[in-house]
Amino acid sequence: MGSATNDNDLPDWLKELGPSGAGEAPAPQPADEGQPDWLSAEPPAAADSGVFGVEPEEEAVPDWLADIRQAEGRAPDEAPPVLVPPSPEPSEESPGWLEPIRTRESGSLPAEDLEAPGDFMDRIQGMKGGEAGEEDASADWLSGLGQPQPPAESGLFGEESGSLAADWLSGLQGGPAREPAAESLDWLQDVGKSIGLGAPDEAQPGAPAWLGDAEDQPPAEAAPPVPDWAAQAAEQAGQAVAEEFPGLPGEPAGTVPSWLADIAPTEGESESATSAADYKEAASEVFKIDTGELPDWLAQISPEDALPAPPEEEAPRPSPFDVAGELAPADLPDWLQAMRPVATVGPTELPEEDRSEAERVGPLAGLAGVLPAEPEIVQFGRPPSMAAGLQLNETQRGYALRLGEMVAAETAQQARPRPPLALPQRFVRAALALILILAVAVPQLLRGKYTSLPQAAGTRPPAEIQAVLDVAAGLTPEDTVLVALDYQPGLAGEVETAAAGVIDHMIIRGARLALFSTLPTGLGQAEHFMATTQRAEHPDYLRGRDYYNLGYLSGGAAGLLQLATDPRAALPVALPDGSSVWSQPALAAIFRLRDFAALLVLTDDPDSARAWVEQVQPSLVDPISGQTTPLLVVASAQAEPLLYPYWQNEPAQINGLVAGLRGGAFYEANIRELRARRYWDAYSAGLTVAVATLLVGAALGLSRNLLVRRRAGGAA
Amino acid sequence: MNLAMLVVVLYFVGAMIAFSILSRRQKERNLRDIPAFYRLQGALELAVEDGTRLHVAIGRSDITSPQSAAALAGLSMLRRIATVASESDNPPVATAGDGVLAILAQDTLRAAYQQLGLFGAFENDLGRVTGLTPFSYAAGTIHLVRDEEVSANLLAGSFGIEAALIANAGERRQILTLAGSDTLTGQAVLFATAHEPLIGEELFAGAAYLGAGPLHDASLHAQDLARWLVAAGLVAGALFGLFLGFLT
Amino acid sequence: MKFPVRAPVSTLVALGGGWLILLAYIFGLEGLRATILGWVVLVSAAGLLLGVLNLAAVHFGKLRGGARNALYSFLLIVSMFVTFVVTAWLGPEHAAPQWVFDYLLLPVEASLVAVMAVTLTFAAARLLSRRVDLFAILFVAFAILTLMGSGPLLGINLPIVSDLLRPWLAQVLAGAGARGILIGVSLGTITTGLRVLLAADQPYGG
Repeated sequence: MGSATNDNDLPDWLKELGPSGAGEAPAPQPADEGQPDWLSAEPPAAADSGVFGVEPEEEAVPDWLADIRQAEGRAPDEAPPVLVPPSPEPSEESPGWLEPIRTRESGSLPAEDLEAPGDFMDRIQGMKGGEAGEEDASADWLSGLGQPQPPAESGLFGEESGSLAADWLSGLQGGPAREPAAESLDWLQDVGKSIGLGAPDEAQPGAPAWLGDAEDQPPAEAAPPVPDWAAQAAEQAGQAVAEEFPGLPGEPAGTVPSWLADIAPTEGESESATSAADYKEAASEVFKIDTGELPDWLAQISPEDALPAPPEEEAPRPSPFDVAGELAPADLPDWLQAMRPVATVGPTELPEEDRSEAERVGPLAGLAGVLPAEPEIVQFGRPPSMAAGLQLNETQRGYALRLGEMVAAETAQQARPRPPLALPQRFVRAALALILILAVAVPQLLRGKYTSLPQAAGTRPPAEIQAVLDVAAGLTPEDTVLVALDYQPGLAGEVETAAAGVIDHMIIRGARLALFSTLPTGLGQAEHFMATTQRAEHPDYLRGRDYYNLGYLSGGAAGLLQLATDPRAALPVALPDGSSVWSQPALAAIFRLRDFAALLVLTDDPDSARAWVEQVQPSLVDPISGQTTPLLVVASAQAEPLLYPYWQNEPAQINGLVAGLRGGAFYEANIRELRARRYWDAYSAGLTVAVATLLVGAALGLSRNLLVRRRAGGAA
Repeated sequence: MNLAMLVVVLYFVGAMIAFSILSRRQKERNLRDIPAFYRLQGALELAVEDGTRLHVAIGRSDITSPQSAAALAGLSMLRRIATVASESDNPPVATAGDGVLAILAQDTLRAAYQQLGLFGAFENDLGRVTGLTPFSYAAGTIHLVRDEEVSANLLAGSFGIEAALIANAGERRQILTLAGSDTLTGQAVLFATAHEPLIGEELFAGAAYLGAGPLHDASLHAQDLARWLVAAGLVAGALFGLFLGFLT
Repeated sequence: MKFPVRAPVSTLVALGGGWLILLAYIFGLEGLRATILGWVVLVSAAGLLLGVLNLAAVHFGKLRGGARNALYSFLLIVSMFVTFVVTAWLGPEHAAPQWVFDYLLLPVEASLVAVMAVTLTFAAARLLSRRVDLFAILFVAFAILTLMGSGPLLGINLPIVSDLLRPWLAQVLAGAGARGILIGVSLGTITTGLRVLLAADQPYGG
């Protein structure tokens, strides 16, 4: 149905309420909203075919059209001339009064000829203008009309206007037998009473109450008076009809045209038409005032408030069609038509019994439910669903299904399958671990000395180890050595074993030790080292007398730089009695790092050793005498290649280096056998297994890759 | 006055600014191919698409040590990765073996989230300490790789031999491990255990390859030029030493 | 260059501190440098404490969230709390904290090193299965030679490998390669540091 038709379906009480929003223009609607199914499925309105350009369904020529055609000298079944090019086939139901509109839209008629029908539609349109703003939800489909509409403020029903519009639309759809929804009707009943529909006795018999009101009472005197805009609309509609249908008797201005007044008795004669008594009954049921449920803002609206004061002068109402005429009809493409909602908001095709209620005379003849003379229009109920069901063919349904599956697959949280490690790999790894453990553990358990130390008797150790031996041998009981334990607990086994002989040598020489660490674990590390490597050999070498634990130096390289600058500030250690550790006899003479007899760094990290060389070693050189306090390093074997260049430098930046278990074994070979000798057999066995594993693995890997390449070459 | 340091600083600042200006005139970026970063980009895209997590380990260096530069390079890469992948179902997580580095990782991630307008989704434990000694750090990170749906490991920081444990955890899960360290021992073990090891200064180029900005590209060019200058100096010095030895 | 405006204070502090230290190095401002270094050492120690708190917070979150392996998180938190209390109460040099170090921390870390030894051996053995190129072959070959020269195999010292080949590999080839790599790393370190000083990198979240 076209918009005009729809607007005229508004019940009178809504029109009378309209003035509160009468001046409020309808909101501009989005142009691309879907067209409801009923819109295209309901063919009678000429506006549909004219404005939407949708081919209407072929229906029987209604009586009123036949009458008009007869008046025009045509056969009743003769279709009017095609005037609207976009419409592929003019509707046979199109009323003749709509043809000029089509013609105007098609531009085939001069403008002056189109004035009257255009005005007529304007009037019809204008009659619903007051309510247009209330049709937020239902008006979406109106966007298809492409009519620019003035902006709307809040409608009469405020935020509920959308649902209300849906309600009355559903009332249109439902038919007279449908019972109104009680919840939604209570307040409407109140409104109905407040606007006078609650007094159906005043209505003329045989005519609907709202028509009676409009007929019998002058707009200025009626209670409730017919609003001026409605009267004006009626007058203008009458004029338009008079111009369009000169055969009809003229009506005085300001009165309801006879064709409109004739509707009531005609409808009263209809079988399915609702009589005035029916209407009274329905209205009395519907418009019961229950102020308790009336919203506050609505309860404050009296009928007088709801109706506008009559204006002093009638301002011409702007016609939406004046603008709409400039716009092209909205042709729905096929794909959009396919998306039209099915059985959604509006009434779908009316049942046959409802069709029989169509108007029989006048310009609205043949249109069902255009003017709400029946109580069915006040049958309010919720639409079945606002959700649009789509008309989909199988292909579209398949596409939609696939798209849904793809989206679901994207958003689904799939548990990532954990690829298990290949069983042979796990087995080989476990077997290798077992073999290594056995290779290291068995010699330890046997406690044998099957493997000779790397240094043969009567030979000298490597130079870097000999340098350490020389420095340690030169220590005296007056000397204090600063020992940094910069290694992780995990690598303590290697580093402590390598360093055990060096420290043992220093203790033998009577030197005192100041231990500290740049690692947080250093404090425990120092005690662990002394307890596990020296206590058995030197039980009388005591903490606080012979060696001191200076704790943890934070700051990494920056801390080392601070240590080189001011060791007392860098390591401010207090003894339990509150005195500084630097006041102890072994440390009392130490103010700079070069005051120590030597610096010994135990480290597993070449970068740590490098930091010592870069940050500390320069401060060990006396700028006056040029003498250098020796910097000795005991390192893990992994650090040897990186530290060796510092030893080889000229002048050397490291004055002695013992690297790994091998270095420790060399050192012990020159002093006495300690931990390095104890682990030497296990070290040899583990080394053998590692070399064998690498050889076998490398051979297998190479052969496998060669085989694969050969196969690939053969396949190519 | 340390003149050599002043010269070095002036050279790098000048070269970086100069290359940055020059790069604006060039339409194409002149960066040599490092396949590891292409695989990282692929892993990043896969992680976002797959809803899995990228793990960025920025190492255990002290922020006051020279090794912190490796961690800073890792943080730059983390920033780029977070900018891309923070909207993923499982956003990137960063681990550190040092408290200050963890805070920097949190700040970096927080900044990326703010940049994306996702600050509400940021959680502090996206940047976390997993251990305060190298091996405890590795042990804690192994759990993360195993338990938190990690699809790719990026080790970009200062690592020692403990990196082998982290890379091996990725190997056991059969996920990509791309690793670089500034330490030689770390590089040595990662060469054998990581899928894509970064050797030498490649670690410091990571952010540039992830599109961190023109100054990153310029710093790479300055770095390359300096490397050529150093190499030329080494060759010249060696030849000069040989020549002097020959004369004497 | 885009100067950050989101965190101007932190950016200014970071840049100012960095440039101050650098200029102190260049121009020999020892007093200023020592003062700032003293602050750095203190802040670094505080950073360690922050690391402990972060570790506790992460595992507390796991425990509260009922994550998988939450039992380990529980054990970690309890152990951390007990160790902290005992060490703070008795002092770090007391036998109790030392016991924790000797019998808990050290064996656990040593076992991780043992696992790493197996892992590295296995990885090196598999290297040629995963990729065969010149560098991989050289890597495995030098690893085998270095191991063979590091100690006696089956109780026997390999004379040439142990006395000549291994020292040459470790001290000449590996040393030279290491220096080359370290030079590259140093250049990268310099540029990375300068990027921070130029605010191109803002790890402090600017």
